[in-house]
Amino acid sequence: MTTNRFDDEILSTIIDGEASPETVASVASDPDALQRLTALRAAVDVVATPIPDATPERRSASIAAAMAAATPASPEVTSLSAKRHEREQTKRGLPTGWLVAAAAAVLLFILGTPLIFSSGGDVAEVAADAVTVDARVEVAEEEAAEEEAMEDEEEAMEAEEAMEDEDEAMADDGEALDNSEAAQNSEAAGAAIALDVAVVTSLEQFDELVQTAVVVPELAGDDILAIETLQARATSNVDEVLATNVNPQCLVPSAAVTNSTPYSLIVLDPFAGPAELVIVEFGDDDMTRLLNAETCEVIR
Amino acid sequence: MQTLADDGELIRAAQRGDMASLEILLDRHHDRLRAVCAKVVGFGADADDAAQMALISIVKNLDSFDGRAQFTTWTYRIATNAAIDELRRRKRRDADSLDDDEQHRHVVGTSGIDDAAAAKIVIDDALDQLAEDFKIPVILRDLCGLNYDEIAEVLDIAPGTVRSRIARGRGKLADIIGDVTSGGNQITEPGVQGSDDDY
Repeated sequence: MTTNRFDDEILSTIIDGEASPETVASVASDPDALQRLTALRAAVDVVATPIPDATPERRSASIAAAMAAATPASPEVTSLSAKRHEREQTKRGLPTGWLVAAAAAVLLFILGTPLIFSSGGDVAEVAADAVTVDARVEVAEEEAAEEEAMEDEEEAMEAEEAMEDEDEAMADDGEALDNSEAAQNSEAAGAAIALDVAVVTSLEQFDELVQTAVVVPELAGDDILAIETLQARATSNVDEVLATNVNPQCLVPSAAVTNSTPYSLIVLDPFAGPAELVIVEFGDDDMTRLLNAETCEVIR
Repeated sequence: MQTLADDGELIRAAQRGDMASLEILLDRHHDRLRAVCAKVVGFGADADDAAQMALISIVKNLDSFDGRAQFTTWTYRIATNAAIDELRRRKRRDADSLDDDEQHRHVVGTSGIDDAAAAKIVIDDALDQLAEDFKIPVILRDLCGLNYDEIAEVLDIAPGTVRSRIARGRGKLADIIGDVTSGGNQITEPGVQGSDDDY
């Protein structure tokens, strides 16, 4: 809103003590401006109104949850920074654009790290889970090519059909992805990204990833669907289930999950500055525990 | 006494693995961060969830805090990110449940609701009607007392942009409050936010 002579920005600077004495004097002599200034001050008062305190129980629970995140419940599964360092060395000399990172992210399963979900918060169980997941991921790393070759033919066909459906849906929406570009990126990354994690720096970048990522041909046999599909499933699946369980630690900002075992959970952690997109592979038992989780632990 | 230690000492101790110092640090800042979250997402369980996520994130990333920024500024950035994430999660939940949206819709000025109480509801919800880009600078200024430069650092935008967004945010709030106090009927949909163009 603009009064006859002063707009909200000028009046707002008066509230903040940023206006010159001359401006303040001018406003003081303008009834319309004074009225608007009063209205803006009322808005300030609304924002500044204190909120009721949290209940002592809720307050304690929040702090306890944060403390639990710091508790070294198990040895580190994998050092993400170490993995990142490895990745950077591996990628040296290759195109390093965002799309490459995006394509790489969708590609493969990372190791390690990140999210261990446990039911009940038992430290020993968490540690055991960590080892289990770590071991599974290690196996995946070493035998990825072999596992792909052993993919069930029917699953591969289903995956292909799902991909075709996804492509058709996207084409219908006028949002067909540039598969040739993605393929080039994929090809460029090639075998050098046998295991990878994309590093994104914001939710916006993650959104961009969601928009640009495509199924990588090499993974078709793994039943990996387009990431948009994954995210849609996550919304109606993991996120919602976990939200129902009221477990903020489990409420990952963005998540996606494949629809067959071994599941791949894709998680964006925007606070790990720069945020990291991580993909963790896990099996039926873990999925069951994930969906019924009462507590979650993030182990770095 | 340890409880009298300043933030810097607590941070350094926590970074060395001193859990007691970490707990003091979290306890000291919880209320401040929760207040920010509550103003962004609205008072209630979502605010507590966002505050908890913020604390967890602080713990997870404390090792990377190098002291170049003010600890409070750093934590405000984390808290606002956590609150924004909570808002987006809620938006997804709401999108999946149109019925819930209907239940959340407030009809103000209709029979059965005391006018004063209705006005208070709208005023309390007024912040919900601001887009994040305007709401958060206003909160950081008017609730947290940060100056333009500090807000610019938290949000990683130019101070001039901060000033403009604060003015527009306050202006929109003033309009909402003015509508209510002047007795006009109004339907509000908490959580629905306009684009940058319409606040």
